[in-house]
Amino acid sequence: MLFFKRQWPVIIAFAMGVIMWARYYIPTEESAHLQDEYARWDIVIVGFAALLGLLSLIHHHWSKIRNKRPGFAFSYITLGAMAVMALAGLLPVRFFGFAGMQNSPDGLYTWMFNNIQVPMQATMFSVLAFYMASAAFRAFRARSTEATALLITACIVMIGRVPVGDALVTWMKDSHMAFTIGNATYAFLDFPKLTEWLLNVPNAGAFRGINLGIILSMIALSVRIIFGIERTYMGGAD
Amino acid sequence: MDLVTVILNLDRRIIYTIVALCVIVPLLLPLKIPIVPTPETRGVFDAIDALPEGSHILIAADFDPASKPELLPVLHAALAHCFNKGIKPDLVTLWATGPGLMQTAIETEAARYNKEEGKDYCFLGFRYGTLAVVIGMAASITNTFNTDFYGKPTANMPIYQDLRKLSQYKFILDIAAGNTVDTVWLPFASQQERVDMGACVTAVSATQYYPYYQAGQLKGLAGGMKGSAEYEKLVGDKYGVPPGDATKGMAAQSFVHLFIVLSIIIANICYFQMMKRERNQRRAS
Repeated sequence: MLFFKRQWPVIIAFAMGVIMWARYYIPTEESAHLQDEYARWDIVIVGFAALLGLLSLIHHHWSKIRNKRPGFAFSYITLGAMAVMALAGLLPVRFFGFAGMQNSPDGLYTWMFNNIQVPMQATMFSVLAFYMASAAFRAFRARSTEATALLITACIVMIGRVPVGDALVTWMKDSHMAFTIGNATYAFLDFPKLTEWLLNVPNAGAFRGINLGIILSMIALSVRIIFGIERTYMGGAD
Repeated sequence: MDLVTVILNLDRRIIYTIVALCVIVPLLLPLKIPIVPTPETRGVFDAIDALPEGSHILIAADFDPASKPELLPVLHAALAHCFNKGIKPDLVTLWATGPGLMQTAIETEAARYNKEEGKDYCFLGFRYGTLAVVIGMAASITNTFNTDFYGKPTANMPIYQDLRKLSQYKFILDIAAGNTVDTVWLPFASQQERVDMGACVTAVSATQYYPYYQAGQLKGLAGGMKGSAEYEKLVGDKYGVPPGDATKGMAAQSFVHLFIVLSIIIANICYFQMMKRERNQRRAS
């Protein structure tokens, strides 16, 4: 039994990893067919993983309710909302007051998504704007050279990435707060141009390095998983 | 209590109130601030505009309601652009919350331009699997999405009589809030299947895609609500499409950004004054 718990998953990971890696270098029709078959199986397995996630969520909240742990009332709301949304999407019936079924624009499921989930999720994200403004005022201090550079860059990009930046440039050029090189006129504080330079030169360079590092780490991690060195996906210690 | 101390200890509720006013007042007043498209956004527009009539493109809307203000307007603008040019878009999403948002957009724009589903566009919807979905589409679109979002079989649809695989799309536009641009669509759809690609992303994630734009792997990159507003302007100037929600939100975003910049400057001036005062007190004692 221990073989199926410990060795068997590692053998499957190794076999699938090596096969799919080798397949990439074999340019035949059978190889392409293997990839398509793998994609189909993957869709089915991920669907089961979603079902597993659903069962895990129900188990977590049900045990919270049964043991009356702090905040168990919210678990009732979670499970109830999940049941209503799932039934509205699954049952091929017209609910009272709605002309359509399931996915149709007039159905209960679409109404709940557009009038409950969308406003609530958008509101939760919008609250960040207030926290950002408060943090900017109370915590963003130029305590060091790096912090000063960061603040100056942030101010330039914040003005350059809104239409007010373009409007300021036009005003500066009209007010002769500008200089000419050849045939081109440049405003003294051309926020959009400065923003473009910041994003395309230092930012792109830094992210190029970060992305390379991330991808190299992913390759190393994948090799470790294929060869069974990394087994955290099995849910326990090595 | 002097002014410096008052400012540095300002109640956060006053800051929240000012931010709320900076958002609400510009939305109520008919403020119009000119929008100048950047080369990055123009790249997305020009790539789609250069396609001949009847071309098939793939629009992947991988975002959720949290990113709706930034990205839903560009989805509307992209659909209006496609329908005005006679381009046939296929819509998919790799995010479970995507279909609900796409449904509103596609049904509104299709009704406005009198387009028929299955013939002028197809709303394929969502499938689990992320990467597996893209790999599956590379082999066969109708096998991966055997029904569309509404449950109608795709195999017999007029739009799929000539279109079988992902490589036959002329362009892929990923409207994304997450990392599907560089982990899914770019490597496995655009580069592997040799299809040009553009991206419209949130402002927060736009910075990480500049290396791909500079390398030419992304033909264009529209970032944030400003990117959406720029795309709306380009589509509006060429095809007379009225400005959308992104353009309307630009005044509010401008005011909030200006307030944040001013608050950083004022708070730091007060901070340096306070530090100077403490230094003088230490010297005096």
